[in-house]
Amino acid sequence: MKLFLISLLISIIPGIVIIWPFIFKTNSLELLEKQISSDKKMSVKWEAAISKLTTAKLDFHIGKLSNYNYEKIIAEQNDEMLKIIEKLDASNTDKKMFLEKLQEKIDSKI
Amino acid sequence: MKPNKSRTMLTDKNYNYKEKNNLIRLKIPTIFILICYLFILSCYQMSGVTNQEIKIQNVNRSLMCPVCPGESIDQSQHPLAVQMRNVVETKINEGWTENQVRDFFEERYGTAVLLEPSKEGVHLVIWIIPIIIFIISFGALIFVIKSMLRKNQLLKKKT
Amino acid sequence: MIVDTGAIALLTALIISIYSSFASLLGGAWKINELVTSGKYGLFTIPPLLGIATGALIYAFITHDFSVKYVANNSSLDMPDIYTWVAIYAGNSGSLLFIAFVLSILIVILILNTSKKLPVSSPYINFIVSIQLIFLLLVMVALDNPLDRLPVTPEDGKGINPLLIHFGMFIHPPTQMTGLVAISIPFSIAMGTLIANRGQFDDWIDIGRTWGIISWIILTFGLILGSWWAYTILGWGGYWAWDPVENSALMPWLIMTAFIHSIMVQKNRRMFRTWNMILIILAISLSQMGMFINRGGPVPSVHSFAQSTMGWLFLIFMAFTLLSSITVLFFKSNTIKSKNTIESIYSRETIFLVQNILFIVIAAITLWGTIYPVISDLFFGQIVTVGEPFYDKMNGPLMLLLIAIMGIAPLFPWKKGSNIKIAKNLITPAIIGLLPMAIMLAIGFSKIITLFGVWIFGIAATIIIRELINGTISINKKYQSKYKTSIKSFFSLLLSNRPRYGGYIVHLAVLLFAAGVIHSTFYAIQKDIPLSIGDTAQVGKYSFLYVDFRTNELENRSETTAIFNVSKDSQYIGSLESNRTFFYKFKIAATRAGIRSVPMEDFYIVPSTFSKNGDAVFRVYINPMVWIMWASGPLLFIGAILSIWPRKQNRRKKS
Repeated sequence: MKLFLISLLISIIPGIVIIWPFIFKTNSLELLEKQISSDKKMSVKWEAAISKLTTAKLDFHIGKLSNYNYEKIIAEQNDEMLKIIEKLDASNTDKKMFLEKLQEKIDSKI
Repeated sequence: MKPNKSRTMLTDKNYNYKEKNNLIRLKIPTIFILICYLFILSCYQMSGVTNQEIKIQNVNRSLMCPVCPGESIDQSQHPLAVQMRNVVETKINEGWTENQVRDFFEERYGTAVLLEPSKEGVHLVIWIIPIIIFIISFGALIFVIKSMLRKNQLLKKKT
Repeated sequence: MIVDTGAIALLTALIISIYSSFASLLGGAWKINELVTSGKYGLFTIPPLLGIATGALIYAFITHDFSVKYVANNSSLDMPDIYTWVAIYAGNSGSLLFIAFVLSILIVILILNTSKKLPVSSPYINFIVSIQLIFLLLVMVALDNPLDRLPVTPEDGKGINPLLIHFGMFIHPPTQMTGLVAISIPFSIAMGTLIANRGQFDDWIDIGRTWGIISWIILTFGLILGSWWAYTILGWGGYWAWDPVENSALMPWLIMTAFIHSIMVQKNRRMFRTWNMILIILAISLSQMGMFINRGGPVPSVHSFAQSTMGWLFLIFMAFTLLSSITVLFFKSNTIKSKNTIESIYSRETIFLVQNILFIVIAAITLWGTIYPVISDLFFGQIVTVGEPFYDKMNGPLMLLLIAIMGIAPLFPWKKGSNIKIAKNLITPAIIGLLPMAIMLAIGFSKIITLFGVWIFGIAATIIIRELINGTISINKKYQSKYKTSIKSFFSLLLSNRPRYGGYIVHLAVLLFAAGVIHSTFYAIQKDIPLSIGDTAQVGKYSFLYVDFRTNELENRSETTAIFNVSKDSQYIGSLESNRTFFYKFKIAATRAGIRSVPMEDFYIVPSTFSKNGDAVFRVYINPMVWIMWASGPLLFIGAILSIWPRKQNRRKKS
């Protein structure tokens, strides 16, 4: 009898847990999902660009990267970042501020 | 805003990377030599073991103990392994060569007693296949790198 | 009764996980959020359920409930109490339960980690990972339930192999099993992303890399602890025997090492996507094959203690995993095409690729050697053994090549480097590397392979140290106001690019380890010496006096201990005990070596058979640099943790 009760308990609790989401509906996430994914894409690109810049900078200081290549990478990455900022709908004055902040950020990272 | 404006922003003009701190740079080899000394000190003793013993150990390491799977008779403390070690010792002391002793055991216990298959006959495959694996993979690697470089050049021409 | 509760919990866990896998897959495919959440919650309930089952088994072991088949087979009344619960992973079904329990906990962490960061692929990730779990649970419930009862309760259990009754048993098997099963986490992340068509976004890279490195760390520690266990308990003075089970743990490790390197290429350059998928698929297949070889595989091994007929199921599951993931990869390969290519031979991408191939070749050769006895038996009708000499000859040079590549890799920049610059940067290290080689030659060591090895170590170490010093100098110069001391700037350098400098630290640890391996392989001294009480013998710098011996007869075993007074360069350095225990029931002798370990070398003494009056043949080893090998473990750990330590999340303002 005791065993029966315990086994009932063990099988019923997980049952309740998996039915839970159907009874207490959370908000449908489809819209949110879309936004998250596009945001995510941007932020992944952004992080990648920053990491490339810092790496290039470090490589350059250590003397592993030639001047020419360094300039090229910097230019490429800046273009990329500008594109990202463009997509983020920032106004023109904000862009300038943004880049300045970026400069600070990169400096502080090394 | 044009990209080249921001380029100047991100390049650090004040930093002169050619200036070198020679003192610290000299420390590298010094540190390194210290490490080397560690290497050398660690193996600076070779005594007490005769060539005869090394020969015996070599044979022991290449023979498997038939009753304790996966262990050589050098590793195993099983009575049979101890007995086999004694046999190896007497044979080597009698002046047998390493290969003769191995053959002797192979005759008695079969090919499985050898920890590495012989390089003759069918078992040559075990030695050849790794070499083939190596050649094929590096051939494929060179092929892939070459084709990627070609693709890259095509892309460059387009832009 | 507690045992029955455990059995019910196990069955419930199986049902829930089957439900969860379907719920996750269908919820993801039909975009039904509730279904996905429900599947997720289902997976959350598995660890408690399996915890109950594991707890029940441990309870059965502690109370010596021999009516449970598994307990009767794997423990006995005369076992020391603390080891009774260690026995839960000594056999097949118990270790399965342990693996499933660990996997379920990892799954919970995975879900918490990914459900917000990868909202779209998360259901598919959960689906893939729960299939792995279902397989383990299904095998247990249907074929080999650890909580099954025997029809008749025996008086005493059979007990386990006494070699396993060792402190190392607490750590090595669980770590190794956890490491092997943890590979399924990065695998699931990669495959889930692929199925969700999100391969081209590369948003799984960071999480996948972190999990890859975590499983790599655990695997590494499993291997190191296993070697340490072999070194101290098996009494043959070595740590690695190229035994089939060791190989089967090494192969996934090799592939994972390739994976955590080549994923950096994807992180930085958005390429090699398909390649990384192939690597992780290989890794999971090899880890499943490891479980197969460990459980009743066809090859004899010192590890054959979890033997059962269940092994073939793992082989079938491995084939299933391999085929299905390759199929998925084939049909989804157009979603992960990359625009980027290698731009120059002299780039880090190329060197990573070369390194990857080398790792795969080593793994392939190891695999070939491991399965060759089976092939030979099947095709030539001859039973052969493939042991240490084969692997030493085949893999040894390749590993040295790998270390050479590891050494020069930091000279190659991303994308495009110039060969002249690389050559210039290589000259100094190559010359400095000659120094130790020259000194060794001068003292009179002439083994070409070690001389060459030492040269390569020299180059590799110099390059890494130079990288660290140059970086420190440049930071110190640039931020003189901020970091006044060079130590401070050194640490800020380490933190500035964690994957890179963490990697360098790991590389230094690997160099130390490899140096230890080379020196202890080529310069170890081994000698068998017969001694009676009161005798003194001399090996190398060490002389030792056989002081005393005592025998301890116990119910199930007899322990014989010899005591030595050891002196080095005629200076007394301490006494050592070296022990041999014979277990009557198993007819197995276990030895425990007396080891005195200092950074330079180990003095290692181990007895073979004793006669009644204490005469015995002792084997003495002087193994150089073994201590350094073990010490490289913590350094490796620090480096690996640094490389995955997350940056503080800087919130990007949108203003």
